[in-house]
Parts: sequence; C-alpha cells; structure tokens
Amino acid sequence: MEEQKIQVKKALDERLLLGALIDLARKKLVPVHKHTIWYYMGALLLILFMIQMVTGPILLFYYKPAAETAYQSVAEIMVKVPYGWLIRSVHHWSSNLMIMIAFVHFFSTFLVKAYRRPREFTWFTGMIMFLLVLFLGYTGYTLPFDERAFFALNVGTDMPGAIPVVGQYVLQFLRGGAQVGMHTLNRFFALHVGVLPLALLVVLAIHIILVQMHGMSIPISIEKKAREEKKKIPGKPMFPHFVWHDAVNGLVLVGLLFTLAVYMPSELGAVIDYLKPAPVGVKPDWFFLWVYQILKWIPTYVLGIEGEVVGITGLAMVAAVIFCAPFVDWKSQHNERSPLFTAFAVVSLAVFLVCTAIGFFF
Amino acid sequence: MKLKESLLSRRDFFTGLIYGSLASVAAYVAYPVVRFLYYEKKLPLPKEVTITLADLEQVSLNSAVYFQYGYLPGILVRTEAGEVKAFSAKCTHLDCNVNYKPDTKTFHCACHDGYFDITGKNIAGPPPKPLLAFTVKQEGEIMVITCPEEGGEETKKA
Amino acid sequence: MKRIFACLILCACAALFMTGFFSVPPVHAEEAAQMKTIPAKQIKKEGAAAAGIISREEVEKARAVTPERVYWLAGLWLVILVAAVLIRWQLRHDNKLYEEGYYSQEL
Repeated sequence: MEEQKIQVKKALDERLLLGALIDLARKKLVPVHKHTIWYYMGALLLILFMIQMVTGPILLFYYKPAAETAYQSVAEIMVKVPYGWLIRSVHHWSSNLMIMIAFVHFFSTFLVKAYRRPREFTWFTGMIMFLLVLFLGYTGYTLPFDERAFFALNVGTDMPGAIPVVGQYVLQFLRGGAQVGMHTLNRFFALHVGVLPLALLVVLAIHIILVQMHGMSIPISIEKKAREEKKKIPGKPMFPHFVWHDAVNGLVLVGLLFTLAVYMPSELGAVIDYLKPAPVGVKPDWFFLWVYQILKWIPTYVLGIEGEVVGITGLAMVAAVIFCAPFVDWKSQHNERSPLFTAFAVVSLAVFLVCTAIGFFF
Repeated sequence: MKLKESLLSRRDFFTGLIYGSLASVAAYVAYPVVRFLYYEKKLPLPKEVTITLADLEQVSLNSAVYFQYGYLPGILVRTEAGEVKAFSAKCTHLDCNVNYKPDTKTFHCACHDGYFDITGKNIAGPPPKPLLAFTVKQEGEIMVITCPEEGGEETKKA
Repeated sequence: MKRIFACLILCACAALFMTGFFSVPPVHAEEAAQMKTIPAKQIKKEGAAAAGIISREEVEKARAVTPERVYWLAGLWLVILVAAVLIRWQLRHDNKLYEEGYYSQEL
C-alpha cells in the first residue's frame, strides 16, 4: 500500500509538479494569538463563493432574463422545478452570508491594520472585491423583476446620478437608457452573471496569491508584546491543522446555510405594476440600509447643494480614505500604534451597525 | 491467516474515514442539485387542430403541406385519390422534419436518408419507427386533426 | 524523398480544403424551401386556460416548511456532525503532535 502511494505521488509530482506545491504548503505557518479567529473569515468567504459558483449557473438553466419572462421563470423555479426552492434559497442566503462575512472580514482587517506594509495590494484587491460582492448582491435581487426589484432598480440607478460630473453617464450606463425598462434588466443580468463574477474571480486569484506570498498579518500590539518579552510568536502549520479548522468551519457554515434555506426560503414579491406608487416601507436590502439611513438624515439642501449629492460625495470620500488606508495611516506603516485611525475605524463600524439597525427596525 | 503488518496505517485509515465522511456530506447535498437539473416539464399539446375545407382545397393532389400542432410540426398530405392523411413531421430517427416526395409517394428525411411510405411506415434508412399518425376527421366544413398519443401530452426533459 | 512525400500530402490537404471552401449547397436542398404551410386553428384543452401562469399563492405554498424538508435537514446535520467529530478527533491528535514538537512551531 505504501509503495503504491509513493508511486502515485511520484507520477503526479512529475506531471503536475505537486511536490513544489506541497513543499510550499508544508512550510506555511499561521500565527497563533488571541486574534487568530479573524483568520478564518477568508476561507469561509471562499467556500461561500464556490457555493455561489455552483448554484448560480444551475439557476441559469431555468431563469429567463427578459422583462416579460423573468418573474414567471423564477416562479417556475420555486414551484415546478424539483428542489428549485432550495437551490434558489441557498443561492440567496449564501449571498447574504457572504456579504455579512465580507463585512466582518473587512472590519477585522481594517481594525488590526492588516493593510500595512507589505500588504497594501492585498488590501486594494480586498476592497475591490468587497465592492464587487456588494454590487453582485444588489444586481442579484433585481433579477426576479418583481415589485421590490423594480424599486431597487429605480432608486439604485438614480443614486449614482447624483455623483457630480459623471453621474448621468453612470446612470445611463446602468439603466441602458434614461428610464428603467427591459434594457435595464438585461444589463443587470449581464453584470450579475458575466462581468462581476469574472472580475471577482480574477481579483480573488490575485488576492489569494498575495496572501500566500506574504503570509498572515500579525496585529501591531501582538508583535510589540512579543518583541518586548523577547518571545517568538507561535505558528501552527496550515496543513493539517488549519485545513481541519477550515473544514469544520465550512461544514458548520453549510449546515447553517441549508437551515436558513429550509426555514426561510426566498420570497417572490408582487408582479410589477408600473402605475402603482412605491409601497409603504420599501427599503433596500440590509447591506445598503446604512447608506439609505444616512441619506435619509441629510437635509434636502446643504449650503445650496442637493442633499443627495452631498451624501453620495461624502460617502465616496470616506470610502476613498478607507481605500487609501495604507497611505493615510502612515504610522502603521512603521508598525507604530495609531490610535486616531483606530478610532476612525471603530467609529465607521459603529456608524455601520447603528445605521443598519435603525434602517431595519424603523 | 494473520498478516505480518497492516495494509493501512492507523493514520491512513482515519484520514480515509474523514474523506469518506466529507464525501458523504457532498453526496447528500449533491442529490438536490442533480435532481434540480432533471426537470420533466409537461408541454401541453392542443386537444385538436382544425383546418378549413377551403384551405384544404388549395392543396393540390399528391402533395403535402406543413401545419402546426402545438409544439409539434405536422405534415398533411393529400393523396392522388383525394384522401387526407396527417402525420407528425418529426422523423423518428433524430427529429429532423421530413419532406414529401410526390414522384415516389414517400416521406423523405434529408438528414440521414430515411424513407416512410404514404401510411407513415418506415421503409428505408435509419428511422426505427413509423411516423406518428394523427387522426383526421371531417366535421362539416372543417377537418379536425387529433394527436392520439398519451391523451395528447408529451413530457420533455428540460 | 521525404520532402516530395510531404509536398504531396500538403497538396492533397490543400485540395480538400479548397473543395470544402468553394462548395455550393446541393441542388436538392433547395426543394425543402418550397414546402408550403397551411393555417391550422389550435383548440386548447379545457382547464388548460391560464396554462403556465404560476400565481403568488402557489409560490407561497412552495415556500412552506414541510416535515420532509425538516427530515432532510436533520439528515444533513447528522452527516455534518459525523464529519465534524471525526475531523476534530484528528485535530486533537495533530495538536498533541504539535505540542510534542513534531511540527515546526515558530514563525
């Protein structure tokens, strides 16, 4: 048995150069400290992405991406296709969990300053993926083309129109014209099914390669403590220890996902009635509630400028600061504590949580 | 017969168990996915199809015309004796539409050179079965054509 | 000799390619285009009226949590539990090896 195993290994190594990969894998150590738990988020996101890459294309077998047929095709998936309700609900909940864990991953890396040298590009690719995932979530729930999707399309494509200078071009690009119509659904379908997943795959590949190259970032406080106590930070091997950890986490995640899919299957709203007013309490999906709430609070006009423009521009500027965190937070680049930027990160997290909660409950 | 040493180490056995359990989780979840891909969609066929006698008179003797029967293409042939026959135009080999040859009074499938006689029976080439025959009845000024198979409904694997 | 052979093969392939390139559809294929169609009125079956239109009530019914779905979910959690227990067992063993210094410990 051992001989055969060695022979198979040799054969594969010769053809696929697996030996080099396995060597690399064996050497990879994951730091063990009190913040190690945040290291698990990446693998969870990867598992959810793989689930999306399976459930998404198979839903494509039945979804008909035109304004006249989209709604009925989704209804058919829910009612007629065997396990259609399950696949659609898994796809829906997996996207929700993916966005939620993306927020956790983003805030955890932001707070422990994993963006500092030499991991700037890991940060940039991560931020791009975050935006892509949010946009994927948004385009996804417009595809059933029900009442809620219609309002999401109207409002969601209207907001970029508030961006100064380029706003109207962005709006027309997203809508496929000046108004929301059948062209809009086609575009959102193309974005959701083709453009965004491909972009995500490419950026994800770069992100993963960078993470493997640089290894895991260690929080500044832990590094400082280790230096002061003249102790080395322990590291456990990725193979097999952390792979087993990831496997167990993945299994629990899959269990949770299917539980949500069974007990809270995806809904299908009412058929679009172009002449009806917006229903009372119409809101965006949970991951955009913070934006919705912030914009609600801004007065109609601020210093003569339209409130929406102020809001969108303001949020865009904050996003730009966060994107450029490696350069803005120059103290962390020298591995020094930067309490101001940490405070900024904590405030961002608080604002996000509070605004989302208020938007959800009120 | 006792073996001198075990075929598998304890570690290998346990690793095998783990992979087996992971595979069983994957298989458990794969069943709905596979089942999802096999959707037998019932496509409805009409109860019957009517053709006016006036339209039928336009069809010359010993010639054929196509007509729609739900999602099925139909071929209606008016024989030399004036008799009207109707069949599904789908060749029983690989579903190409058949053509009527007045010179030999046969239906010909150009895809793989299959031939059916005037009664729809497969007489030459690869087709394994006769053409599906429709029942034709005259009711006053109209010709009523009905598909007899399975009460008129066919399932289609999506 | 080899060169002449190679030239001949090349010419033969070129000839084949050219014939394919310049070929015209066979004459008898045009016959198929001359078949006429006759208008036929489709009579739907009774009760097949709103065929295919799925109502929101049907969608709501399809969303209901049935016992079969709960049993399926319970089965899933069972296999997940078995796999998780086995993996954690292995992990405990591997952790012990780690503490004994079998794996490299320091970054």
